[in-house]
Amino acid sequence: MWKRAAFVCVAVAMSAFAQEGHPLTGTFTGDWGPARGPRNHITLVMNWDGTKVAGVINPGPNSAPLNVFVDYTNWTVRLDADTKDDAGKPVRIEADAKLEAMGSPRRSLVGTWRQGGITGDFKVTREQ
Amino acid sequence: MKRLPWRLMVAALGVFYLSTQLPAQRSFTTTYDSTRKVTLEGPVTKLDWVNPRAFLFINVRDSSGTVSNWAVEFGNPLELEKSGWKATSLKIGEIVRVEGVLARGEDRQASATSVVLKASGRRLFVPQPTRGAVAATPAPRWPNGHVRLGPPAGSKGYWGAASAKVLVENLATKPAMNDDGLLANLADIDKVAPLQPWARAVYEFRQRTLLKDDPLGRCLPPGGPRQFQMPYGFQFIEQPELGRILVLHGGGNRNWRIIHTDGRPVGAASEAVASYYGTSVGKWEGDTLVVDSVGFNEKFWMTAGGLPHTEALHLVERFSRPNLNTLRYEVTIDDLRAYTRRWNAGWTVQWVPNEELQEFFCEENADPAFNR
Repeated sequence: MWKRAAFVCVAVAMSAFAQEGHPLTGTFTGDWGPARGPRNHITLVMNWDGTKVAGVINPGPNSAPLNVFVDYTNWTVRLDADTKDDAGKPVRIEADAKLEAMGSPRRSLVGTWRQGGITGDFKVTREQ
Repeated sequence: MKRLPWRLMVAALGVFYLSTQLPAQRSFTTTYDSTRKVTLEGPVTKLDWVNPRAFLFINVRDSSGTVSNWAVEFGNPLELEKSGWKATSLKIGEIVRVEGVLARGEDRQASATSVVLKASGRRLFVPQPTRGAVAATPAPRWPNGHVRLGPPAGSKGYWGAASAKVLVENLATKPAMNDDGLLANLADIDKVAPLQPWARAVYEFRQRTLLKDDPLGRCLPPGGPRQFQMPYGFQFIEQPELGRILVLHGGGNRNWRIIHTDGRPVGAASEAVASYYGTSVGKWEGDTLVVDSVGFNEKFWMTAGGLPHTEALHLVERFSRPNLNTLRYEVTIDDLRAYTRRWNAGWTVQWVPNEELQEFFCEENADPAFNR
C-alpha cells in the first residue's frame, strides 16, 4: 500500500514536467454546470496541426468533433461542437474561455459553457 | 497498515524534496534583478565550493540591529581554481564586503560583482581574463583523413564557450538581448525568428515572465541547438566501429546524445519516439558532419529565451572544424508548425585544450536554499 502511495506521490512530482509546444495541445479535463446546479464532467482533447487547433470532446462512444478558435493576442478561446445528449437528441455546445496559467504544465481553460439552452461556467485543466 | 501514515509522511516529504529540487538551474535573469544593487558586510558563516556555482554565506546586521544570513553567489569554482583561488581563500569568520545585485523576490540572496576582505582590502575571487586566441593550428584528423571532432591523438580537451548564447536567426541585424535570451526591447521579437502567431505569443509570454518557466530551471535536458550553447561545454566521442558519435554534455544534467553514423535512414518525426535529443543520423560531406534529427518531444526549450517548437521539429546540423580551436555549428530549424518557414542559425565554439569536462549535476547545489 505504501509503495502505491509513494508511486502516486512521485507521479505527482513528475507531473511538473510540462509540454512546451502549443499551449492548447493535450488533454484537458474538468466540468461545467449552471450556478448551484449539478456539475458535468467534460474532457477536451486538442492538437495543433500547424494550421489550426482541432479536437474532440468527450472521447469515446459519445465523442464529437470540437472546433477551436484562438485569439493569440489575449489567449481567449472559443469552442463549439455538435453532439448528442444522453437521450440521443442533437445538442449544440458553445463555450468561451480564457487560457490561464499558460506557463504551467497544468494550465486551464476557464469561462462560460452553453449547452442545450443552459448556460454555466466551466473549467478544464491540462492533464499530463 | 498501522505504519501507513508514517510511510505516507515519508513519501510526502520526498515529494516536497523533489519539488524544492526542481528550480535548481535557473538563469541569471530569472534569479537576479540587475537593477537592484546591494552592498552587504558581515562575517562569513559558510562557504559552498560546489560546481557550478559557489556560494558564501554571511551574517548581515541591518540598521535595526537584526542579523540575517545572506547567500552570495560569486562564481564557478572550477573556473576560479584556474585563476588560483581555492575554497580556503576565505575562512569562516572573516569579514567581507560584498557588492552585487539582489535576487528577485524577498530571498536574502545576491550575486556578487565584488568580494573584498575587510581586514586587508584585498579583492577575492577575481577570475583571470579568458585566454587569448591561440595561433590557428590545423584541425586534427583520423588516419583515414576525417576531421577529428575531439582532441588530437594523445591529448585532452573539450568544446567550451559558444560565440552565441542564444539561438537567433542569421540576419544582418541581431536583436539586442542578454546571455539568457531576454530581449532588450520586446518590439524586436520578429527579428529573433519567423514565428507563427501562436508561437510568437508564447515567446512573448515567456519574455514578459522573465523566462521563469524555463524547463532547464527544473533540470530538464537542453535539447536541440541549446546543447551547444551551454556554459559547461560538450565533447564528441567518435566510435566509428560502433557506427555512432556520442555527444557528452557538461551542462544540463551531464547526459549524452547519440548520433548514428551507421548508414541507417533518417526516418520520420511521426515514427520516432519523442525525446529530448531526438533521433539523429549523421554522415560526412567532405570535412563537414551533417546530422539530421527528428523525433523531439515538446518538454524543453530549444534555446535560452524561450523559442517554442513542436514535435514536428526537424533539425539539420552541420559541424565543421576549420582549425584545432574552432568548431563551426550551423543549424537549419524546420518546424512549420511553429515557424512560417525554415530558418538558419549558427555560431562557433571554442576549444578548451588539456582539460576535461567539469563535473556538474544540476540538482545538486545551484539553489542556496538547499544548502542553508
